[in-house]
Amino acid sequence: MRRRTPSAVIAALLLLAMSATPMLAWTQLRNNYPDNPQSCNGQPPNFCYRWPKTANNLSTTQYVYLDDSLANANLNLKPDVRNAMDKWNDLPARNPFMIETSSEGSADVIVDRGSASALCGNAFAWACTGHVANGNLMYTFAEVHFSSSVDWNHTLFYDTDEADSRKVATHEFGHVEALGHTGMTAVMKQGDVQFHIIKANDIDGIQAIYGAYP
Amino acid sequence: MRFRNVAVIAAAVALTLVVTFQVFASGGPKGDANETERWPACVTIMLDGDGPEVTSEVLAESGAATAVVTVSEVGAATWTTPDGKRPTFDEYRTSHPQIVRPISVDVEDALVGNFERGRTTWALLGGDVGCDSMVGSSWLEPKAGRYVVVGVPSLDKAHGELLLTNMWPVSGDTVQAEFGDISLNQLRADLETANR
Repeated sequence: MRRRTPSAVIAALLLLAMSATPMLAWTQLRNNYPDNPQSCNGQPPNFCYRWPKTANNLSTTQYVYLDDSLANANLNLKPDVRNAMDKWNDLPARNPFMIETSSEGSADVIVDRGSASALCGNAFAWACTGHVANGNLMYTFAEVHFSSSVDWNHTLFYDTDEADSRKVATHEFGHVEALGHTGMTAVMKQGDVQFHIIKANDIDGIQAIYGAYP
Repeated sequence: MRFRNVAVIAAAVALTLVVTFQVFASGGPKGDANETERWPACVTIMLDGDGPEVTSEVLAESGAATAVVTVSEVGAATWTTPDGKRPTFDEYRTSHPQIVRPISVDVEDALVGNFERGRTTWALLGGDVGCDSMVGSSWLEPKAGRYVVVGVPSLDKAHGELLLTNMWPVSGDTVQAEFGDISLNQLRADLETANR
C-alpha cells in the first residue's frame, strides 16, 4: 500500500498539471484573438467561423480552382497548393475535403497570384486569405492570393520579398480551413518560422472545430 | 376525351419548356443558387495577411509610406464600389471592392515618402455597412491621438491616396510598434540608415 501511494499521488499531480495546461495551443478563432479555443462561443470577440458540415455531421466537399497565374513568374505554385490541400485532406478530422476543379464559376475557393497587400491591409504580405461568411458564421467562399511581388522558393529562405511557398501554401490553407494564427509550434505560427508540415497543434485545432474522424 | 388528353400533354410540354428555359437562362442548374449561397444578404469578409515580422528594417526595405500623424476623426464606412452600393458577388470577385472608413489625420512628419504637412484624409480598411462587415487580423481600431502610420497606395483613390495598413500608437517619444517599443528618433534614424 505504501508503495502504491506515491505513484498514485504522482499520477494525480500529473493529471492536475495536464488539466491546468491548455490542451490546444492554436487559435481556431479568427483575427488574432488570444490562444484560447475553449472560448470559441460563436459571439464576438470569441466567435468561431467554419465551413458547414452535412446534416449527419460529416465533411463537406469544397471545390478549389487554381488560377493559371499561379504557374507564372519564377516558380509554379500549383504543385505546392495541391500538396497543401492533400495535407489538410489527410487529417483524421471531419474538416472539409478540398478537391480541385477546373471550373472557376463553381469554385468555393479560388487561389491565384496577385496583389495580396492591398487586399488584406498588410503592406508586407507574402499572401492573403479572404473569406466570405454568412450570418450563421459559416464560410460561403474563400480566396487565397499569393503576392506577385514575392520571389517564391523551396529553400526555407524568407525576406520581405522572398518566401518558401511550401510553408506559405500550407499556412494559407490552414486559414482556408478555419484556423487563425498562433504563437505556438504549428504551421499556423506567423512569420518566417520553418514549419511547413502540419503539427499536432494544428490537428488539435481542426479536430476541435470539425470533430475527429472516425 | 382525346382532345382533353392532348390539351393536358400540350400544357405539360409547355410547362416543361418554360421551366427548362428559365433554368438555363439563369446560368444553369446551380447558377442563382450558388450566387446566393456564396454572397448572402449579409456578409462578413474576413482577411488574414501573412508576411514577415514588421521591424524597422523590414519597413525601410518595403518602401511603404510611413508618417507621424495625429488622428482627429474616423468617419462612416462605405463600400468602395464606383457608386458606393453593395457589390454583387461577381463584382466582388473581379474588382475586390472593400469596406473602408475615411480617417482624418494631421501629418506631422513624413518618415518614408512625400506627404504635405497638414490635414488630409486617407482610407482605413474595415468597418460595417448595414449588415455587411469587413474584419482583418491585427487591425487596430484607432482612436483620436498620435500614431506612426504605414500605408500602401489605395486601389480606390476616391477614398484617399493611401490605404493605412499599420498604426502604431505614439506615447510621448515612444512608438508602440509591432516589433516592440522604439523611440521616435530611433525609428527615424533606422529608416534613414536603411534607406541610404
